[in-house]
Amino acid sequence: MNNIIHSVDLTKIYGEKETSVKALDDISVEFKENDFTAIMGPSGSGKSTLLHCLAGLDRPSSGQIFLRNQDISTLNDKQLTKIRRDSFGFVFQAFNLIPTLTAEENITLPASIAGRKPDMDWVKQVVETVDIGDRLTHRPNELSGGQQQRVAAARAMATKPEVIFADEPSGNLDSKSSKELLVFMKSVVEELNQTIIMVTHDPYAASFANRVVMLKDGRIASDLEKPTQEEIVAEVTALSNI
Amino acid sequence: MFGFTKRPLFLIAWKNLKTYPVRIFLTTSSIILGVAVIIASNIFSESNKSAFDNLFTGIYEGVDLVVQPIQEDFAQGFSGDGGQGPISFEVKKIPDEKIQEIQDLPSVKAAWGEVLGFAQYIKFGPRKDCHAFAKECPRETILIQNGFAPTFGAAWDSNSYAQQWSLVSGEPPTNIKEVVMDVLTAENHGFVVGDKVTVLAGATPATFTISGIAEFASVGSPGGATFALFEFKTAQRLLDSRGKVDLINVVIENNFDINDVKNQISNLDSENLNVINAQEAAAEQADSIKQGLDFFNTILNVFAGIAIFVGAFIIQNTFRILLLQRTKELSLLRALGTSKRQIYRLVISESLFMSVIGSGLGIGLGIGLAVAVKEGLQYFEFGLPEGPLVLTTEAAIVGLAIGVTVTILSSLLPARKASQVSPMEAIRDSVSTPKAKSLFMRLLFGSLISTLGFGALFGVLFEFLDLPTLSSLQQVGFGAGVIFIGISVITPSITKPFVFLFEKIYNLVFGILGKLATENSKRTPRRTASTASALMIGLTLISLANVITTSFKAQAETLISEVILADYQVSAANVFASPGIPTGLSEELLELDEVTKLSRTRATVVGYNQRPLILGAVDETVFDLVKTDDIEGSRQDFLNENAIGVLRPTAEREELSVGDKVSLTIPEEGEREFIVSYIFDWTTQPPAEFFVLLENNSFFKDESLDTELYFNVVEKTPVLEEKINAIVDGYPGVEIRDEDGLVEEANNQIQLLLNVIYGFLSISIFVALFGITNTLSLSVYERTREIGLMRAIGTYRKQIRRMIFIESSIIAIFGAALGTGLGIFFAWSLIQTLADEGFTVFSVSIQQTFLWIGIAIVAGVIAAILPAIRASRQNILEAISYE
Repeated sequence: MNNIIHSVDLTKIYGEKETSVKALDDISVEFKENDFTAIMGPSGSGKSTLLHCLAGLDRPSSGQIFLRNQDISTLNDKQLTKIRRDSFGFVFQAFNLIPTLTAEENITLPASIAGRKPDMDWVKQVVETVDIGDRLTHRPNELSGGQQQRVAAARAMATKPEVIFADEPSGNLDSKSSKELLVFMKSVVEELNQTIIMVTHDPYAASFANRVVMLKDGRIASDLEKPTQEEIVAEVTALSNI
Repeated sequence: MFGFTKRPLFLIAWKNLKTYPVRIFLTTSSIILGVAVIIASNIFSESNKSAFDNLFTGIYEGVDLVVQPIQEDFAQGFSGDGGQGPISFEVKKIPDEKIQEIQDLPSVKAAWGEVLGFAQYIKFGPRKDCHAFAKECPRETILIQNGFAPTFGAAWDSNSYAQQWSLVSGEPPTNIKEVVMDVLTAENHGFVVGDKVTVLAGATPATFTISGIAEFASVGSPGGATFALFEFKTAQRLLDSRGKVDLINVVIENNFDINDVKNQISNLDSENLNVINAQEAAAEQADSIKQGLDFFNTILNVFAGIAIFVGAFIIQNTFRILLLQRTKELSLLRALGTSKRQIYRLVISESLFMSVIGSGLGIGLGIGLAVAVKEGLQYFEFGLPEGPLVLTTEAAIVGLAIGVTVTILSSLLPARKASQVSPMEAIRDSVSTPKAKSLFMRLLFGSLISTLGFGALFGVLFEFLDLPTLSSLQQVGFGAGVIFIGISVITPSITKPFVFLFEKIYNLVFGILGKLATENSKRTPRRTASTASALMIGLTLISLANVITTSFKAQAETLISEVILADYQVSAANVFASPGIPTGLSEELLELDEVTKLSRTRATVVGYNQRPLILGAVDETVFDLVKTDDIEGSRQDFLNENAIGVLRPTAEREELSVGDKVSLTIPEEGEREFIVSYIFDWTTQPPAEFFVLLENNSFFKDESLDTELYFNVVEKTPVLEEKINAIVDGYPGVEIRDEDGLVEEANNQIQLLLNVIYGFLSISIFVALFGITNTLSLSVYERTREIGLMRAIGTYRKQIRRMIFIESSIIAIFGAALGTGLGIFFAWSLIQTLADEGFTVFSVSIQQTFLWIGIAIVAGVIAAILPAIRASRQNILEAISYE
């Protein structure tokens, strides 16, 4: 499988001289096409910062990020915005949807702001996969938490993005909805050939991924291929004990 | 070391304001403007009052007593005309000998006579309507005037005690060819000593050399009037006062009692002389003018009231917004043990600080505004007296008090709401959005109030309800006010249906951004509505003024074309200065073959039942040239010897009907008896109340002046027009107009008034803009996450800005549409009410209406610039992060 996105010596420093914090410290990491990767780590390890930088939501202090072969760390706001709109999909922990728009309008929002007609066949397929076909005309406040996150996931995929970034997508859900969402995300990667990079602190959620990257103090602590939940828990415990 | 303060909340309030100066500005912007208008209007009227005070003290400067002639009863109402002009009657004057008699009294130090009448400076210049690059421009007579102020002629007081006029340059007039000009006119129209100037006083103009330029009681000229000061004898000759004076100024010896001297002079000729105390007279005259100015002041105060009223809306809104943004801070205070009462007081003391600062700034701005208005009026030659601007302590205190009171009152409700904040809010992680409460009660209440208003209003129009103590006009105004309040209450509940109306269009034009913007304005209908309401007030008044004036214009147009059947009308350009139209003009015009019909009008003052009335004389042709409506009798009978025609209102008042005998006292003729033969309506401004036929009445035949001429021509052509103009140009001070000219003149006057009203009302729109800015800022703040999310998934900054602009335009259109609708409706009601007064035309200028709606929308978008920029710069990570 090809590299779809990778970073080179990625460093992110917050704050000024004395009070500065190194959130990311020289990270070089590659993510493969059609893979489901989980980024884990204790609080303050830099996992969210890594996701934000990769997704073009935040700018690295130094180092580069390549989407395929294009260096996106040097782009201006307008160019980055366009990449986020056309090449990336997003699922956040909460507040994923515009409250005044219906589920369907939310799903097609990225296409709408691009002024394009969404690929309706594809959207239908996505909607079927997420199983929210009967809720399309509802507004977010009429949907359950799980349904809202599934709509968000559908939106993330609606433009056939290169990468879907998920930031604690199941963080606010009960265990049943959480499982449904994760199963769905896994099937998206396996059946619809999508690429997902997900930040989570939950070993159960991470166990759905093909690969788990562990961060600690802004550095990669370990990189596990297809770990079981037990292996993940062991690794997390080991990391927090050092 | 820790400081300790007994009043921690006061301290917090003060610190808050110091930390967030922008808040002060946002909240107080409307107060600043409101107070500024109050202060400006006050300064303006006070300054005018003091200018008039100076003026009248100036008139009697150094004079103790003034001797006036006692007028005959019926001429009283007309004194001041100087006994000349087309409306001729004898104003009594004082013979020159009396001056010497008074001077000879041992108690009198000095006595000198004054001659006053009307005189008009004229010059010849290129026609006003000439194209700037026209090769040849016909020259015409231009009347020199300072704004609308009168034009006087007077005698130069050479007496050493006379202190009214003092020379700025040059010499006093010493012969019949010299004149002294007032400094204001000299400056305005560029005259200097030694220049030649033409003056029209009496029937024929003459050329004088300016021997000097003088100022009046240290102002340029009293009330902005133009003054031509002649050598004494010349003045008497020109101003129709040969051997006579209009009044005598007296200075008394120091050791005499003023009242004794008054009696002594009066006793010289108690039948003809009236002696008054100069200082009392000055105060009285100043007072009567000041009363007139009070009206102007009232109008200004109404505008100030509107600005304050709009301001109150906005302050309340802004307070609510700011407090909502500070929910966390306030709830933290609550969690730390601050009581609700203390929070309440905290907010009130903040508003107190703000109101004081805002009102202070308002006073400063008001002074600037007053200067601007004064300069503006000067520019348009409104001709108010010169003088320094006066800010009274009283006015400053009133401005401050109103500013503080309104601000604090407007902050009461928001403060109460803020004090209800739960201590839990601090811990919760959310930006609170106002909860949607049912708007049904509002709709109910608002409809109820509006219904009452409509009842009062339609009660007048359809004559089913007549409220006691209110005139029908007042009742309509009252109804309109109540409707307005009712609609203001309803607006939040009609926000959604209103937005729904053009949602589709917005979605079509702006796509998803239009959809988001319309949805957002529906989300907080109360806020959208109250913001729009502020704009609604201004637009209601503007469209009211607009429709009323458009209707008046249309009315004037119809009226003029209906009632003036003549092709041309000739009249005196300045009825005071020029004594009418020399009869030679009508003769010359009749010699033209193209003139088919011509009617002359003359007038004189006569006595009827011991009162003065104007008797007019007309040619038979007048009935073909001016529209008259028969009421009783016939035009045929009017042609009889001893026949008299009476205007309907006069006939009703004097209870006259056809066949009655009328006895008139005619100057230099004595009693004459006439028989009422024709009662009619003169559909334009009538030149007289009684009419006789010119050729039947010899005493009119001898008059050398006409008041008005009307005539028809075979066909209006440019060639003929040139011919007529050439003839008319031979008679300076005479003005000729055709129908278009009359309409244009009427329109210009109306437009001038409208522009002044627009100027003041724009302030209320300006205030409303701050409201829009505030509301949108809050809206953006509340949607921090939403906007962050949109940015995250790929919305350009430009698109975010556009979304806010669209939202602003919705608020603006909402306010403008409601306001315009109401304004047009109110104007319609008003005109319906005035139908009895002869106002029948209701006309709406579509262009003007859309122009103002357009202005409101553009203004709304401008108001959105800051919030839009803020929204587009929102930090994405802050908006979407949870850690």
